[in-house]
Amino acid sequence: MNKIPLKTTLVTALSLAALINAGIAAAGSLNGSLGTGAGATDFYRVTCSANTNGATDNLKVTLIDLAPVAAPMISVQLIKGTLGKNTTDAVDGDTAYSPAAVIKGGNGLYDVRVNKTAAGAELYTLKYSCLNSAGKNTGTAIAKVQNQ
Amino acid sequence: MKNKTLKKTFISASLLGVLGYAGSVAAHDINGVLGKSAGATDYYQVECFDDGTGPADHLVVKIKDLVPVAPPLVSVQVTKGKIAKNTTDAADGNATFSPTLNIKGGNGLYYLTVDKTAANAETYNLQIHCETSGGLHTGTNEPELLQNQ
Repeated sequence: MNKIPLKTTLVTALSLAALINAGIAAAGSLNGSLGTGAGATDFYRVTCSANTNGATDNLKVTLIDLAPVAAPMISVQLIKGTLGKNTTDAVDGDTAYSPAAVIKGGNGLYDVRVNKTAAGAELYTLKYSCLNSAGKNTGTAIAKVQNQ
Repeated sequence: MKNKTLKKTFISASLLGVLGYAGSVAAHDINGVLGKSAGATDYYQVECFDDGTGPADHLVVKIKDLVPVAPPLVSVQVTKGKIAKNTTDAADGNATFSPTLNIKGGNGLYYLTVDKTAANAETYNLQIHCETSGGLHTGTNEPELLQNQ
């Protein structure tokens, strides 16, 4: 008898976690770090898919260069098919994100690369959203391909 | 329209620069222009293949931020399969290239993006070579410009 309430509690907790994660997946955000090497590059693949909001029109990405303040500037590039876009956070350690980079590539796989202009370790937060043509979230999944 | 005219002017200046360089650089040497927009990104595809010298082991890439001197820093990123690398030219208008990238992706297609850190037009020189594991120049198709911004 004792196991049933425990199981129910776990299921409830997992369901709540899934709901929270579902919200994050719709407009994802992750924290990352770049090592000291000037060429350090983190490489992600974002998969955009249709959901109840319909098909994806574009992937939108912004990033913020977190404290501690250091000399390099951090950029993120999006690639899909023959489309490429870059955006850079001009100021380290403040609360402003970079301008958004948007690629209208529809559903499918987007390459997302984060890198910096010089040597020195850096921290960042990356926000990414697959959106339909009306700006509503569609299915968004991210995988880390390379961590430097 | 104004941007296009400005870009043409830069391209002309860059081509003159290329003529000046012609004696000292190898075949896959591109002069390009990034427009004023902060997010302007040029996008290239290049294929490495065995031209009889031997199969490609890696792609060698470096970039130089050409005059006129402007605030943005210019970078090039290369992706092949699960490998991604970046290099930035730290100083605009001097004779020094960025640190050189070696992307060990073998034969096949490599994808390069050239971009900058802020608004303002920029001109650049991009050098690309496919090499064998012994460092010999091997088959390198003329880079195809997929996107010109």
